[in-house]
Amino acid sequence: MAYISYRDLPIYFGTSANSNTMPTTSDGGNKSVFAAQAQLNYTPNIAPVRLLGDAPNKDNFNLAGPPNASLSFQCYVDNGEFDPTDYTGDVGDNGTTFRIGNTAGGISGSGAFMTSFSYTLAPYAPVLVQCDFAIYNPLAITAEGKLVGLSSSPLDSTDFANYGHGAYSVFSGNGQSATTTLGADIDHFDSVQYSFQCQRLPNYTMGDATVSNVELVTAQHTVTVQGNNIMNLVPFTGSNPGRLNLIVKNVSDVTCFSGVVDGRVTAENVSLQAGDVGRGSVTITELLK
Amino acid sequence: MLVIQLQPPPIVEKNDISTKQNSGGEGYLNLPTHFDQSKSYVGRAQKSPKIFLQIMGLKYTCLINENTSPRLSNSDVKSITQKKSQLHLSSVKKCMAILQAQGSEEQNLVINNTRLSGIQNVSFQQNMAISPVALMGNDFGGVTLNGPTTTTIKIDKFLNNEEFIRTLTGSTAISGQFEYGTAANASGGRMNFDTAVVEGYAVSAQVNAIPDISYDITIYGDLKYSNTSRVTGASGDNPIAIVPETGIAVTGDDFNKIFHTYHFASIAIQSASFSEVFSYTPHYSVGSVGAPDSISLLGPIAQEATVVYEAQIGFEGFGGVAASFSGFEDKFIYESGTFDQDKKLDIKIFDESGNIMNQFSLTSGHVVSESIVGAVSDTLTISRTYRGYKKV
Repeated sequence: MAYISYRDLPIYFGTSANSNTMPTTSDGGNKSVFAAQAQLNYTPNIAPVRLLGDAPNKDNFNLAGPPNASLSFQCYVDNGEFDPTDYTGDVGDNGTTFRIGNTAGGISGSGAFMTSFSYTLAPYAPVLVQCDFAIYNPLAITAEGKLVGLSSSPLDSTDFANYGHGAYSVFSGNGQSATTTLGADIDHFDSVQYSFQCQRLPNYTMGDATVSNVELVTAQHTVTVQGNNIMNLVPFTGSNPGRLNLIVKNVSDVTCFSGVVDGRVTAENVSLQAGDVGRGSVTITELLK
Repeated sequence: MLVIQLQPPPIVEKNDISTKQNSGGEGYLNLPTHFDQSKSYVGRAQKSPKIFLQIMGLKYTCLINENTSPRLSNSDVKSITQKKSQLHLSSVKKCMAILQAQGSEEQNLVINNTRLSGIQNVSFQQNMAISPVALMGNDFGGVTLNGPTTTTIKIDKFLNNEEFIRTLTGSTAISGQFEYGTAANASGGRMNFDTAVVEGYAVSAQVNAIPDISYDITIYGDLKYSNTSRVTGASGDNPIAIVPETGIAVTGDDFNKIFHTYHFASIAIQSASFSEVFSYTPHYSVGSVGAPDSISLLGPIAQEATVVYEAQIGFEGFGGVAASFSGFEDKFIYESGTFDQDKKLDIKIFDESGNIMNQFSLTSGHVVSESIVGAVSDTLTISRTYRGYKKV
């Protein structure tokens, strides 16, 4: 079998962040993921078992726990398809579903819960979001990569005017500019990096291979602003500059997704290099749970 | 008066055709004696050689450089009628205006409200940072913008007056206009630009030639059409002066050394060049398109100078020093750490009265390369390249 080209391996999610219904290839039956790259890791949680009086063979492995599986990808986001903010927070106990490839022989999964996502707003750069999902259910039995004909690609037709771009996005305070919120000394923003992280605890019931419930244990998000200066140096107890809005928009001024961070300054850095201008960065963290 | 000689390609007609226009914008072309309406003719405007007029039957097209825009077609001419030996055209005034405006003598470059003189070439280059996107599940996912549009101007001009553009080095607010037509609307003829910087310039001076200078300018602001001319309101460039044969002088630490150490009456310099490069960094902010929020000039300013001169042999037995080629550095002088890192070199351009029009000074310089070339039927020449640095 020849290698499968990337163009025949679309990634698409189910229409709900908390459902076991598999995505279909119809337009309304999935959330297209416009992925630039992806990685699926799947490790069955099996452990070797050695018995007294028994010479070990290939069958001396036993299921030791739920599978270790994760799906990571980098994608562009438009306002009508996959939205990473739909999967943060306590979404429920089912998680979401996804497919790589076609419905007949592609890789399908359920019980996927987001553990982190991050992106950077930069001038003149499209917004690429890094998403990481933990998969708590076993992958489909028939899972293996299969060729998908282009005519059956479930992805929406791509129009790059729809996708979030740093040139058109907004970074501001609450009813005021970000400069006013952070202080007049930092009035030029080279980049704004956002990241969300959470920890979830899956619980399994005896007699069932799929996850019973998933608890959101902790969650927080962070924004790091790099610009032409820093704020006043961080006080001993940190400071709360106020609410900061990140609105990822496309060229048509349509919001693709957004976020709000209202936390404390946890770090400030100054970078100085001969032959360059001085640059400062401010990191603000907010606990969500 | 615009004179166009029509000829059926490729045969050359000998009858001159002249155009004439009245106040109503009408005009006419005198036709060749054997004008055949069924044939096509091509005429070249004698005043502006790049302008062609092509007549095919009663349809005519004004072509600039034969195939480039602007292009005047039937829609710009209200009517064409043939009367005896004349081809009458209405609305030819526009054609005339467009034709007359296309000669280089009608092109003007205004920078910071000064209309420049001595320009030999000017070009604008604009590049858009668009790249294709490949997605999983789709081998072509459209294109995306991944950088600001960059626009550069390259100006080549004679160095026959006090250089005005050079006074603008270090400025981040250069603005101007390039006028190449007289259009009364914003569809063409004039381009305005702003927020430009001089990225660098290079001077070249040779024997028996007018010295010249070229500039590289980057436009960080806007470049767009305008219907308002800045030419009439601009002040003139510095007056042009004659550079005599003895009007180019090169002096410096090394050449003084050669002159004084070896007692040469003069050093025969064949050519000299000098350049400066400025390092600008634009700063764009999240959520902004168009001009950068600010532009920083970072030092040092890099200078480079090359002098080509005729090699001479020093006097034998001078001070006990054996005869040698003048000015060629010993090979391992840099490894020994004794080389001079603070060489100075000046190139001066004088006018007929002996006044310095332009002076280019290399400071904190050191030799980076040198060569000696001997060729049949030519003198032995040495070429030396210096590199220096200047604080902002």
